[in-house]
Amino acid sequence: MGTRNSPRDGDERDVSAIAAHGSRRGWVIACVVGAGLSVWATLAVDAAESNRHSQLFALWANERAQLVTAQLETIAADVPTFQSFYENSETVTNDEFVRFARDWTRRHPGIVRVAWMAAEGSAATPFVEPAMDVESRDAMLARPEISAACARARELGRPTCTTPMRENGPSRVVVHLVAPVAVAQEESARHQGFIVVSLCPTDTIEAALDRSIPVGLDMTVTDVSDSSTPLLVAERPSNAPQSDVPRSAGRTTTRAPSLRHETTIEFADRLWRTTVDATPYFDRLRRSWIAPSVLAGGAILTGLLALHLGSVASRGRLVERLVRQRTAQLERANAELDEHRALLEQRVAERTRQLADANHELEAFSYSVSHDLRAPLRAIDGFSGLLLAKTETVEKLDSEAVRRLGVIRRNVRQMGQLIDDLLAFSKLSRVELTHREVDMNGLVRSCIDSLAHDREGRNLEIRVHDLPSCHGDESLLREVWLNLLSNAIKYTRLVPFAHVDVRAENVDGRTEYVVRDDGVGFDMRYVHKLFGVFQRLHRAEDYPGTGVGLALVRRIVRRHGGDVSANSEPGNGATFRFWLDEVNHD
Amino acid sequence: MTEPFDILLVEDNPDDVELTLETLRSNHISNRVEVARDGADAIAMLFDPGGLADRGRSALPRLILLDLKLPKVGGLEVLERLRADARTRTIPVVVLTSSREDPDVAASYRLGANSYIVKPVEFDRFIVTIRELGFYWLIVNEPPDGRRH
Repeated sequence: MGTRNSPRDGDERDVSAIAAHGSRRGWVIACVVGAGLSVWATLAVDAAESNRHSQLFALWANERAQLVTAQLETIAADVPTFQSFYENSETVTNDEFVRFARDWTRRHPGIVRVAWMAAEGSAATPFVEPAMDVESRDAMLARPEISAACARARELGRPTCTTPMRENGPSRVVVHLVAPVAVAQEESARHQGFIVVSLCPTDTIEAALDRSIPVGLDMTVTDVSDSSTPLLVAERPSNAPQSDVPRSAGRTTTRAPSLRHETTIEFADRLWRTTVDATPYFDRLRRSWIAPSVLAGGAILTGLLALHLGSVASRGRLVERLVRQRTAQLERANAELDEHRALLEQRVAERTRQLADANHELEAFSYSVSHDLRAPLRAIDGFSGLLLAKTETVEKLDSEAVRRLGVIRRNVRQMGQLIDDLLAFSKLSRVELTHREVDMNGLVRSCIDSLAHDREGRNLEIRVHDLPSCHGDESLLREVWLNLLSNAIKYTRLVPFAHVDVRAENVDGRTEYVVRDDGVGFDMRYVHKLFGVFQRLHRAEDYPGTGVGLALVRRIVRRHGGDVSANSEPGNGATFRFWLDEVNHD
Repeated sequence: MTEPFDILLVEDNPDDVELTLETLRSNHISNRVEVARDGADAIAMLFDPGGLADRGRSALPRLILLDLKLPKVGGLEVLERLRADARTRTIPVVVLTSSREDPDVAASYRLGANSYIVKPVEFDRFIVTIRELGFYWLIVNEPPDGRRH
């Protein structure tokens, strides 16, 4: 019973463990891995997007800054042309100036005006294109910044630039580019005057950026020559649609710029910095929907994976439930089997007890028979014998009485023999066979010796041929031989010179032991009765016997797995043959 | 029972007793035979204080014919007693019984019987058996203590 429980319990435990363990672990791993991957992917995508965005900005900002810078530098670089114009002419009339100025101005967008100012001490009138009223002209040219710039320009011998100034109210920022004009005269150059180019850098930027579509970028140019205070030179806010972008006052100053590109140029001995900032609009160009999408995608995948694992787990649980069911069924079936087995064993034990009891009863019975039945027989025979033994008693009895007493005694003997035969016959089925190799030759000879008494005074020859040995119970086989041989001796009683032949024959691969006599034989019509108990085919007064002998022979050889057969011709003897099963004994 | 006798017959069946006595007498084996009718009687006869065993070797029988199926005390127990006592240990005991059962034979020999004879049913053979065994044990056989009457 013990072996039934553990393997199945073990299986059940394993399945539960696997299912539960698998699902728990699966969930955890799925969520962790999924979350991790999603986050990583999101971050990676976000970083990539930021990178792209920054690169885009850099590209655009650089492009625009370069355009602007180029434009400004072109102007600065072209001033010498104007200088040459003056330096190469003896005198320049106003018309000539105006013509040149217009041409020059046309070439450089953002130029507000151009002026010619003669050196100090010269009474020549300044030229200005486009024309200005005298008052304004003088006011402008007299400004200290311009004077300072003139002085410096003359000193350095090259164009300089003023700091940015506001003109026409606060709306416009202008710088004045001052270039000295000196005419070479013998060993020295005679300073003639100054060219003043008034430039609105904002317009320059405007013109420069006109060719590209400015979106989301603010551009400012600041004068950073004086490091402590950067001065706004030009301002070009982005052209981005402002409606959908929340605007706060002081956008460019209060907000920390997310992206910024700065270049610094030298503009006529001033240091100008071009700053390009990304506006919120530009920020919006960043495809910030990608990262959340990836995160969402990751979350969905993780969810799906978790669902899948959940379904696997639930399948596992289903399997587990099935296994439990089957296990329960098996256990029930097993329990039933055990019950049946117990019941069967009980029955077997009972039957065995019953058989043992029956056997014991038979033993007691036969013991009783062997003792208690014989004793009275002995008395009967004994006392009748005494009657006949004592001469004086015999003399008193007549011959008929003597004969009758003889009958009594004969019957007693018969009964005694019968009792012995019956006892032997009944004991046979209770006795256990011993299986051993039996020397048939020796056995037959020993039996013949035992029957010496029966052969007394008889003219009888028993010829024994070589007999192969066999396997069986020697004492029982002895009974077989005794019975067959004594029968042969008995039924040849009336033959003057009797022969009994004992041999072994091989018939169809089977060893058959044969006892042949040339005695009285028997009628083959009654052969089926021959081996029955108490069956006799001859009369008792002719051939005494109990009719049990051959029944005994048959029972014995059948217990050995063989059988016996008989053949005869009345008056011509009988042949008895028996065989044993070599292998299969009970 | 003060005279010495030859054979102690322990037998409960009166007919068997009569036949045996008659046979022993008529075949001139002996007529000095004592009979015990059951096992208890036999033991009392032998071992009771003042019994045969107490009275010395000459008081004891030269042969004991012992039936097995006896009332009160069975033959095997008597045999055991006989062999247990040094005074009676050497007396020849012939188990004379109807039973041919193997257990009885084996037990008898194991307990020290000298011989085991099955009483034949036929009277003629019974006579021969008694005569021969009597002749053998009282005349042919050399007694253990050299006592010959």
